Amino acid sequence: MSHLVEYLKVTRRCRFCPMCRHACTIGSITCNELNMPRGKGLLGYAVTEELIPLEGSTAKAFYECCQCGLCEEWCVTHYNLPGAILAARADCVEKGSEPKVVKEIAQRVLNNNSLYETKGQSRTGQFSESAPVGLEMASVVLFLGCGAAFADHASADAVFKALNKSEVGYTLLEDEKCCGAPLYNLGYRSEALTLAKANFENLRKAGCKVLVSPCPECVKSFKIDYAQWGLQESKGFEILHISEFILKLMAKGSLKLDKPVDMTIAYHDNCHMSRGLGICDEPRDLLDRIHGIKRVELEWTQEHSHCCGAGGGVQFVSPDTAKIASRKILEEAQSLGVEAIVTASVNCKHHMLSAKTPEDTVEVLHIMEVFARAM
Amino acid sequence: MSGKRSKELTKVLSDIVGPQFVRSDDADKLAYSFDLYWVRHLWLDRGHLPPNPDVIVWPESVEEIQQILKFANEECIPVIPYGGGTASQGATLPISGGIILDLKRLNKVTEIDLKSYTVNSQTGINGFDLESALNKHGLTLAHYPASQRGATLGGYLAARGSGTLSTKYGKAEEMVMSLEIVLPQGKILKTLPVPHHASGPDLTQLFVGSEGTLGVITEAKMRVDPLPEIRRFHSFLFRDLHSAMEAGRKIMLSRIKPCVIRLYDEISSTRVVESVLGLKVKGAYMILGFDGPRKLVEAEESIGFQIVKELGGEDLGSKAGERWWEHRYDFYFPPHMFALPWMHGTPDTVTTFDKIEDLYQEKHDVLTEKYASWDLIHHAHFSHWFPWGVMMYDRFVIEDPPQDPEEAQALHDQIWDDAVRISLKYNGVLNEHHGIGIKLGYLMPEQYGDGFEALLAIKDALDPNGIMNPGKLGFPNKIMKKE
Repeated sequence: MSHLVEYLKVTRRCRFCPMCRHACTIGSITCNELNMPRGKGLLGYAVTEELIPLEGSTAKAFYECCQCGLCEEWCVTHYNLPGAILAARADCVEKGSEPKVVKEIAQRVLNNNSLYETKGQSRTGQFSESAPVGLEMASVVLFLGCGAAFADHASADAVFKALNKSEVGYTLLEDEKCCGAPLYNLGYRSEALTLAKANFENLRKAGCKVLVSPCPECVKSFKIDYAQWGLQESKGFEILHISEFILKLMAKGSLKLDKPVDMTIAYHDNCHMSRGLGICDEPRDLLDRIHGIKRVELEWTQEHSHCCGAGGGVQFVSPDTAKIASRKILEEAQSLGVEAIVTASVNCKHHMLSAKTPEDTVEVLHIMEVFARAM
Repeated sequence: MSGKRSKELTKVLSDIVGPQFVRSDDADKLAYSFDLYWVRHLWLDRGHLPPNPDVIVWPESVEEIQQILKFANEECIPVIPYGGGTASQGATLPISGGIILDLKRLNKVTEIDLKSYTVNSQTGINGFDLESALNKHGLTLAHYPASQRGATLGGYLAARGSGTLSTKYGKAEEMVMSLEIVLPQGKILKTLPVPHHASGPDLTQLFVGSEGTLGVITEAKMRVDPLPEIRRFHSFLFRDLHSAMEAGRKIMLSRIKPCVIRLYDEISSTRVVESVLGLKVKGAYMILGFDGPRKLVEAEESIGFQIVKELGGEDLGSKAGERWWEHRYDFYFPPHMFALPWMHGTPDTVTTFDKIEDLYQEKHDVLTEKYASWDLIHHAHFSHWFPWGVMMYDRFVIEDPPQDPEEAQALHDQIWDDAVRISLKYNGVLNEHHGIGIKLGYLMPEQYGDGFEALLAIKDALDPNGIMNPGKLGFPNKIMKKE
């Protein structure tokens, strides 16, 4: 027992340190010391030393974190407190003390192969644009992710439109699985690894040379996390976010933009994209190539961006708090006078849209939707 | 407090602020059982959970705070105002249980006066957030304590805090213009709108430094400054501390206004400066900084650098100085910051120029000799300079303290007692900018003499039931007696 004990050095260091608290997305909203990195470090330490049992409110506290990683980024020593929190969650699951809603969400992923409600739809159907499915030996595999597959078809259609126009040979997988990150983040490590193995096997069968996804969390899973979860096999294929791939196509001359998009936008950095993968410039570069786009920066931006609340399971455990995280971004965007908040994440878009009210004037768009308007 | 009583308390508070802003779970209580007081850390490290609050409440308005205080006062329940919990003397610890009144939802900047250069803000605002809000208008509070990212405006004021640039911009008590305070019976006290007057005693300064023992500071009007046209730093190396101290003194007496004179003694120069800045220096290392209009900075640098040169300061250039500014907070992140398993303390003080060097030397000699068997290390830097004297930020460190927590605490407290009494001997004070809390309260009567009777009378008049942050600042803990 105890994944958390492996992080004793981290929890000992963080338990009394207030130096990153201003950056904490969730703590800044709830104002609760328990939700601050220091509170999590303290709790992690107390649990590790068996001073407080990992159950009830203590167990739930570890899920009141969006895993944005901004505490780790801000720390001059980069202590991996988000990792300690994930370890505590894995311990919760092994003890069976994770909150009820966490169990329900995990069951949904396992039953439906999706973080989102599927409403009986298949992972590759119901889109307006056509996309090839299950092509053999297509070197480029478009890995949709749960969000584009079920929650936000507009993003998926925009991706299809761009790829279809480029005439690059690509395919969707016939049997795409959830990347597993949602399960891993909730503490279900062996179940996440099973999905990772299945995805990996499917990609190998498909002859994948380049994996492309509009979901930063999926990209990060393939690129970084699977190895940490214990998937030791060499990947043998390139892994790119769709914005990186589109830039490559444009550089080759395979994709050109025809129309101006006269719009003032703010780009919201997804946490996995900016801090996880270090991709901050490419999406901005892509947007700057679109004629008519005027781009402004949010206050918390690039590797210091705040989470929109869609991450780490906090959207399920503390939905009101998660919604406020999005509201803060939407309200800041509107105060800057922008017409659209643009993100490279389907999940961020979906979550921010859920926080929008009829009074909000700002659009929320996936970066590929903006791109598609320029084609 | 019994479980039934605790539930009743939660119910009353929930009716005032809403149930989502009242928590009394074990995990929440644990998070509010600590600040940066080393002794509390020690006991946890040795496997002991500390006393915790009965409930934590997050009010959003002055009206809610009024209702909470009225209720608590009637029921004689302790109320501990809480900002960022970065106090190092135990000022926010709920030693008699009660209500933690977390003020962080009172985080609005209510007015920025661009004509007068003032800001009105609720006091729960995070220091970094307040500074960011001002920066958008080309202004700065210029208060850069190490705790800026964790502390709140209310904490700055309640502890008479100081920031890195205090030599020019002043401590929190010099920045504040007026306050709004909720008193224990629920009344609202607003101090005079300007800090300089001949209209009677100054109530603002009564509440600054009161550490939550007299009421709840809910809003403050602060003087602010324009962001400087330029701000730059030079570093110098002196052969010994005395030469460097003389340079600092003469700079201050010349009445130019450096934003920073930060002088490390020989031991700090070796241990701390190298650890964070990667500089190997032998001697006394000084950062000297100026900011403001370019022409003024150039003139002040000219005068300041000449004084340094005359006292033998070797000019190490601006690169190291700028690097220090860029990394000024790095010193306070783990592992650079002193922390367990080490025992450490910062018995900082301030006194006049004529006594500071003797104070430093005696404290250094006594502590290192008396505690030689514990390999006590004592070092200091001098970082907040006044027209008449300088603050000494000294630290003691024992890398291998006793494992037994009682023995360790006794040793810790004895070192503090020795250190602080030497400060008093040289007309220093118990503390310069970390406050009193529970750590130094017992010495308050000794420091103030008969003046402490006056403080007690004020405390009794404002808070007759003693509900406000009991056990702090040396005031008798009436709640503890009742229990």
